[in-house]
Amino acid sequence: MSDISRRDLLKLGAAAAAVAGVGVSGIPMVRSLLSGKRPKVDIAKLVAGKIDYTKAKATPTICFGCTTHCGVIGWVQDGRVRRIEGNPLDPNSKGAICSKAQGMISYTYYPERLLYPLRRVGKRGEGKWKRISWDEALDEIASKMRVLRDEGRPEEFVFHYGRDKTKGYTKRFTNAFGTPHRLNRRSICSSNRRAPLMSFYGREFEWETQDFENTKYIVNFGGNPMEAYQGGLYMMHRIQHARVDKGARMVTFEVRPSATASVSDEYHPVMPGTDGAVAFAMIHTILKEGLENQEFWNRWANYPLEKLREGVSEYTPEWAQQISGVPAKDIRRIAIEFAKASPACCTMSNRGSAKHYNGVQSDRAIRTLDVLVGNVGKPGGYCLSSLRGWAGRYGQEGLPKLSQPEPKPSDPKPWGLGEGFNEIAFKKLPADVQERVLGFPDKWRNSYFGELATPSEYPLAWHWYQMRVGQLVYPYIKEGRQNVSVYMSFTLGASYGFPEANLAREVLADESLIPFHVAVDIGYSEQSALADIILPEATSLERWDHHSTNNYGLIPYTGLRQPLVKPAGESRSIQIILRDLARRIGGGMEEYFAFESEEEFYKEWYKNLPIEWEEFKRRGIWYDATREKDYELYERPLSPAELAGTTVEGGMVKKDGKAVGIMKDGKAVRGFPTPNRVINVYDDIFPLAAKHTGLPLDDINASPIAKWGPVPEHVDLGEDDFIFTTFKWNVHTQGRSGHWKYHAEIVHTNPVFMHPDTGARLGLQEGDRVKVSVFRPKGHTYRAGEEGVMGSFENHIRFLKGMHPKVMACSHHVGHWEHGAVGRAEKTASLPAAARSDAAATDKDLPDRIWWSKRNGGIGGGVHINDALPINPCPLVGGQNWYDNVCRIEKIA
Amino acid sequence: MSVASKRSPDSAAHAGLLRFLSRVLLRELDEDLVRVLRQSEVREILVKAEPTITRFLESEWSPADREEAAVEYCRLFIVPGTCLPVASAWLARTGDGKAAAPDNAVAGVIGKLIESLELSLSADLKRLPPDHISVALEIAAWLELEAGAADAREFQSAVLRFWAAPFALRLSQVAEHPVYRAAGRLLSEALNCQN
Repeated sequence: MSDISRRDLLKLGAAAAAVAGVGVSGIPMVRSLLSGKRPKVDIAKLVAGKIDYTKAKATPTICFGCTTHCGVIGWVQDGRVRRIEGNPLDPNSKGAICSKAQGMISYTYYPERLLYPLRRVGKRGEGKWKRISWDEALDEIASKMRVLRDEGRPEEFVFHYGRDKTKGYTKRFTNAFGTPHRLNRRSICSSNRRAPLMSFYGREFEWETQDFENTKYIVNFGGNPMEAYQGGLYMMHRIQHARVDKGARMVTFEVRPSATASVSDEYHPVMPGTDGAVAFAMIHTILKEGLENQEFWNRWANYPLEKLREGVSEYTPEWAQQISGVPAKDIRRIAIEFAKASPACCTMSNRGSAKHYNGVQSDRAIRTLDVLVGNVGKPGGYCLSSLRGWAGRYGQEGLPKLSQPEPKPSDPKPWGLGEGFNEIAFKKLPADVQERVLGFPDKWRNSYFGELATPSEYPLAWHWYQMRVGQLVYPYIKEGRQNVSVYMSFTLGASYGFPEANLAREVLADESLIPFHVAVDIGYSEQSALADIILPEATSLERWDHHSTNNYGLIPYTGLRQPLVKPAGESRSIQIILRDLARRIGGGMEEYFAFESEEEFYKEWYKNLPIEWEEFKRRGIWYDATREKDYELYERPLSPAELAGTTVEGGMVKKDGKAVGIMKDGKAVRGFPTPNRVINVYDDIFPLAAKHTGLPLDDINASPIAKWGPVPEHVDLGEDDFIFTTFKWNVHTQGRSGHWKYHAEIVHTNPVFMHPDTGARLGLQEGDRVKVSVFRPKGHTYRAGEEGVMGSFENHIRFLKGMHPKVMACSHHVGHWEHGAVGRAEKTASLPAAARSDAAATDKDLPDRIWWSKRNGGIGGGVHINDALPINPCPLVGGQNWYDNVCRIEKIA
Repeated sequence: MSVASKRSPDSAAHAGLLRFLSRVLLRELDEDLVRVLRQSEVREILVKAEPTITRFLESEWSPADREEAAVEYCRLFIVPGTCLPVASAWLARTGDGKAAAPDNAVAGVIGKLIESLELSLSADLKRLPPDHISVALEIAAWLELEAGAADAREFQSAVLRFWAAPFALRLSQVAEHPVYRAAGRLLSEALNCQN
C-alpha cells in the first residue's frame, strides 16, 4: 500500500466527490437541518455520556428474557434502550427483575444480529447468502405456499415455533392457511408435568399457582425457580419473603445443589427418577399418622381413601430410602411437618421430577400429597389460578372479556372420521397409523391431525390440548410420516437444542425432505443457517404482544408488550411478517389481516378493559386489585346466569349435556373444570391410551392411579454407570442466550459436575478432560430396543460437594457454532493480529472482551452436548425424558 | 467543538474520499457505483490499491457479476463472522477500556451527534445501524466539510479510533472481491491520512 500516496487519495476523493456521496436524487446523504448558528457539540462529552433521566423516556413493556415474562420498564435515550427496570405495577413480579431482563438489550443491540432478509445462494447449509428485499422474500414464500392451498394440501405447510408469545396470532395465520401444523417444543420442556395437572384439575389448570406468600411449608421435588422455571421470579421473591420474614420452611429434593437447593432450609440429594418414591412414602406416612384431611379428600377426590391407603401400604419411608437415598427418618419427619402445616403448605415440582420415564406418575404422586392434606385452593396452599387469555373461562368470571379481533379464521378440520374428514391427507398416512387412528375413541379420532401435530403413539400429548411431541418432528419427517413442502421455523433452535440435534440438522439440510425452509429469527442461528430464506425478526423491545399468565398473587392480570424503539435495520415483527405474507397468499387469508398496524390490532384486543388505551400503555399492566383472590374457586356457587338452562343429573350440574358444576351440600357449586367436576386422582385416560397405542398395561405409565416404578435404564445400574443430567443457569435461557455478551461473560462454559468422591473413585482430578458417552434409552419409547451408545462428547470436569454421587450434571446453553463471535466465544474471527497491534498502539490497556476465548488463553465457549442425548419421549404423553440418560466417563489422557 | 464551515480544497477531497468509501460499503454494488469505479481518475487509484481489480473494471458488468458481488457483500458485511462493518462488533471484541457499554458506545455517540447537529440522514443511511461504517464516514465527511479538519479529527479519535482501522485491515485481508479488497486498503490509508 506504500504505493498509494496522500496525493492519490485526495485525487480519488476529488474525483469521486461529485457523485459518490449523493443518492440518485442528488441529495447529500448527510445534511444539516440547522440554519444560522450551530450549537457547540463536545464529542468527548458525548462519549462519556451516561443515561440522563431528565431526557430518557420510560415505557413499560413485558420482558422476554425467559418464559416468566415480568413487567418491566425500559429507559430510552437517543433512540436506544439504555436500561431495564422492573415495573412495580406488575402484581406477579412486584417490580423485581433478573439479569435476563437486561439480556433484552444485549440481543436487541447484538452487533451480529441479522437486519435484512437473506436468500440462500449455495447449497443449503453452505453459508452463502444474498440480501434480498422484503418484497422478494415474501413473494417467493407466498408463491410456494399458495400452490399448497390451491392444490388442497395446505397441511404440507409446517409452522414450527420455539417461543411464541403472540397469544394466538400465529395460530390465526396457520388456521387461515388451513394447516394443523403449528408445532411447538412443549414436549422438550413441560408436557410431562402439565399432563398430570390437567388430569387432576382440568385443562384450565395446566400450571399450578401456589400461594407462596402465605405458606408455611414447601416441599420441592426438583423445581429450580431460582434459576429456571416458568414463573420462577414470581415464586422466589414470595418464597424468600415467606421464609425470611415469616419463618416458612422449604425442603428441596434435588440431584445437585442447585441455586434453589442452596436457599432451601433442607436439601436432600436424591437419586434421579426417584422423587415419586419419596412422595409415595410421604403419602404412606401421612395416612399412617392419621394426618390426612378426610373431609377434603372425600368431598373432592374421585378415589376412595381406603384404596389409596391400601395402594401405598408397601411404600414405607424405609422402602423409599433404599430407592432414593433420602433417609427414612427425614422422609417421615418432612411428611409430618408438611401435613401439620396444612392448609398453609404446598408441593412444588417441575422438570426434576417429571422429565423421566416415570415422571408423569411421580408428579401424580406429588399432586396427590396436596389433595391428601386438603391444601388445594386454600390460603398458603396449593392454589390454581387461570393463566390463559380472558375469554370467560373457568376462574375468569367477572373479568372484561379479551380476545383477538374479529374476524377470526376457523380451525382446520380434523383428519379423523368425524365431521370434515380429510380423506386425502388421511390416506397418505402409513397403514399402521391409519389402523391405529381408526381404532381410537371418537374424541381422539375426531381431533386427529396427522402424525406431526397429533402423533398417534402419544395421544396424551394432545388429549387435553395440543402439546405435541416436538422432538419427533424431524424423525417423523425423515420416516415419511408427513410430506412437508414449506417449513417455517420461528424462534426455534431445534438444530442446536433438541435431543439428537444432529438428526434435526440432517433433516433440515435434506432438500428432498424439506424442499423449502424459511427461518424467522433475530440472529444467524444454527437453525437459520439451514434455511433457504431468513426473515429478520424484531425483538421484544421492538414489538407488541398480548400478555397474560397465572398470577402468584392470585388475581388475574394482563400486560402489554409494546415497542420501546423501532425495529432495527429492516427487521419486522412476526405479526407484520405474517400479515404481509397472508395478503400476498390471498385466497381469503387477507380478510383476517386487515389491520394496518400492530397497535390497531392490540388496541382492539383490549377494547373491553375498563381503562383508556393510552392509560393502559402508560401503565403496561391492568388488574382489578379489589377482586377477590382465587382461593377455593371450586366451592363458589354457580351464579344465576350460570345456572340458567342447567339440569342436575347424578349430582352433576349440566348445560347442553356438559358438566358446568356439581351439587355439594344441596348447592350447585363450580367444582373443578374436569369432566366430572372433581379432582381426578384416579384417571382411566392412562390405561385407555395405553390400550390404543399398544403400551403394555403393566407399564407404570398405563396406571390409572399414581404408581411407583423405576426408570428402566436405572435398573441394575453398574458401578461405572452414571446418570447424566442437564440443568440451566440463572443467567441463561435455553439456547437463546449464548450470544448475550454480559451473560456469556458470567457463564460461558459447561463443565461436567460430579461429586468429589465420585471423581476420586474414577481417578479424576478437578479440571481433567473426560469423554462422556451416553447410552440409548430403554423402556417403551421411540425406537425401543436399540442399544449401545447414542453419542459422546469431550469436556472438562468440576467437583461439587452436594452432588448425588451417581450423577453427572452438565448445562446445555453453550457450545454454539453460530450466533456470532460471543456465541462461538471467538476472539479473533474478525480481528487479525496486525489489527490488534494497531488498536493496542492506541490504548495500552485495551482488553479483549471475549477473554474466555480459547485463542485468548481462556477456557472457551463450552461444549455442545445435545447430539449425544437420545430422543426419548415418555410413553403416552411424549415429554422428553431428559434426565434418564445413563453415561460412562472415560479420562482423556 | 463549534461547527462552522471551514472548507479547503484538501478537506473537500478528503471528505469526498470518505463519502466514496461510505458509498462503496453502504450496499451491494450497483450499476451507478460501477460506473463511478470505472471513471478513469477513480480507476487509476483503485488499480494502485488492488491490481487485480483491472479485470473487473474492464469486463462487462453482467448479472452473474452482480450476483457474485452481492453474495460477497453479504458474506463480508451481513452474516456474522467475517467482517461486520459496525463498531459494536469490533468493540465487543476489543473494547475501548472506557465505555460502560461498548455495544452502545459508538451508536450512542453518533445518535447524539445527529440529534445535536440536527443532521438529516438519507433513507439509505437511516436503515443502517447508527454505528455502521458508512454512517460514520458520512458524518466524518460532513464534519470535515462543514466544521473543519480539527473537528473531523476529534470525531475520528472518539468514534473511529478503536475499530475502523482494524476493520479496514481485516477487510483488505479477507475480501475475495477486488472492489472490497481495494476498499479495505483505501480505508486504511484514508484513516491514516486525516487531513
